[in-house]
Amino acid sequence: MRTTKFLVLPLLLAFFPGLVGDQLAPPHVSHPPDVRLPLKNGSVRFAVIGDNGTGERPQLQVAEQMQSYWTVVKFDFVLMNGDNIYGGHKPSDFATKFELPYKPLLDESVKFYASLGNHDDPDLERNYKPYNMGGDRYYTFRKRDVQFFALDSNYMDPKQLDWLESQLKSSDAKWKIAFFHHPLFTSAKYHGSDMDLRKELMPIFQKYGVNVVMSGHEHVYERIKPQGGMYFFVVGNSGELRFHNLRHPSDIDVVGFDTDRTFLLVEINGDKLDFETVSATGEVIDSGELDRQQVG
Amino acid sequence: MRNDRLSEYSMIGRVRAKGAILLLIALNARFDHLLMAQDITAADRTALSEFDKRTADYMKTIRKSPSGKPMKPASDVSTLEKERIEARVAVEQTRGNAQQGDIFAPDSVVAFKKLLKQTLSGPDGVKIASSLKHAEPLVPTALVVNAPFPNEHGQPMQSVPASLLQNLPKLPKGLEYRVAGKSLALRDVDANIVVDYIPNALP
Repeated sequence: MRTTKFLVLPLLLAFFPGLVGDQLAPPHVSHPPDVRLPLKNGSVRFAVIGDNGTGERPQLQVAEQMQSYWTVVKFDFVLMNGDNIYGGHKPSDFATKFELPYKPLLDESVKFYASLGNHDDPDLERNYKPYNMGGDRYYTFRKRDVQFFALDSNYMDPKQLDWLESQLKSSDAKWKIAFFHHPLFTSAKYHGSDMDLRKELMPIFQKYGVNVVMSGHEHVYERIKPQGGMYFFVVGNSGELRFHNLRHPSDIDVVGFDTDRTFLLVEINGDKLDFETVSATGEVIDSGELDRQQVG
Repeated sequence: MRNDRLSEYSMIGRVRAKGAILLLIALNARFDHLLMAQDITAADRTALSEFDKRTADYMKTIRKSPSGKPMKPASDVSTLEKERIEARVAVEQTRGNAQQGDIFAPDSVVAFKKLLKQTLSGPDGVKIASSLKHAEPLVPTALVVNAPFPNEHGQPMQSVPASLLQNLPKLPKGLEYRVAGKSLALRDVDANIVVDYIPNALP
């Protein structure tokens, strides 16, 4: 009987590693963290999260790491790749799945810019002021040399495509960054790349020189080999995690990480983009510097 | 000798016939969407035009109602919920007796089904089908006209493939198409209610 117990526990942990990690492990927050970004004056600094809105312990762990890194990086804003609130969308859900986890950052006036995922309530969330969507499903904003385009990949109607094209066409920003929920490229097995969306968006992105594309939906982290000259990141594990869901080997991943939650830190200065991807335990699992490319 | 030659000709004939059949099948698959496109008749176009008028009328009527205004951004979620309920009251007041088929009238249903079939059997059909499959389809839920769209208890909302939307008639601001399983629904965005739907719209 005792032998059986000894066998069952490791087996359970092997198949459901989140059992312990999700509920019991205390957050490991280093103070202050070892940050390697250039941290140059006048740079644009932001964080990226995706598929975060669970309200569960792992989301809080990532949020605590974000808070810890903020003390050094002082990023001004956070991009949200969608699935910002899972499950119900009552006021209490917004409190436990967004306002409380990110309270320290919100208190420091860090702005959150949301895009919509398939688990989001599009009408409540686009009008929820702390998400800075201005009542729209898709919108754009600019920070110095960088222009951001938040898209609604759940409903990419011709009107949105026309809007995107006209906004990109009129933008003179050095960097153009698009973020939305469904990935155009991924090695994750659960959903896979959205080929139909790729067919619609890639020609527009290429024509108007989009530099970087951020997505979620797949509960993993991926940095994809440049596609059409563009940099692609999947950050869909800032709350949810689909353990061991990446295909190995992958033809398109430079780095794939599917064993813990993460968030991404980005700093843009001139023609350089520096990034660090941090796990829920504070480990830097990917980092690098990318050159601004002449796309299009 | 002659019999051998006849047999050889007969075999060549059979191979050619098989080749021709295969070629026809391939051409049919490749240009199926063009053949389907011919199925959209003048009557269908009229039906779709009437559908456009009905959706425009719907939004005009709703917006005339004092509580039928679009949501305004707020920090307080309960304020947004209240606005949504007010938007539902506007629908209730203006078309409380609405029934399935009021907007998707039977003649437009025929046209919509043709459009959807045409799109899904066209060159982007495989990509669209894959996109629909990846969109976390809703567990089949009975849609009810004037009732909330079934996403308010934590169910994900199925995304609608871009290529599909490109081939459907444009809608006025405040309305959108949504796929729910095999049904195509028309959703009032501010009230989050089902305005109308076509069951088994997708082939």
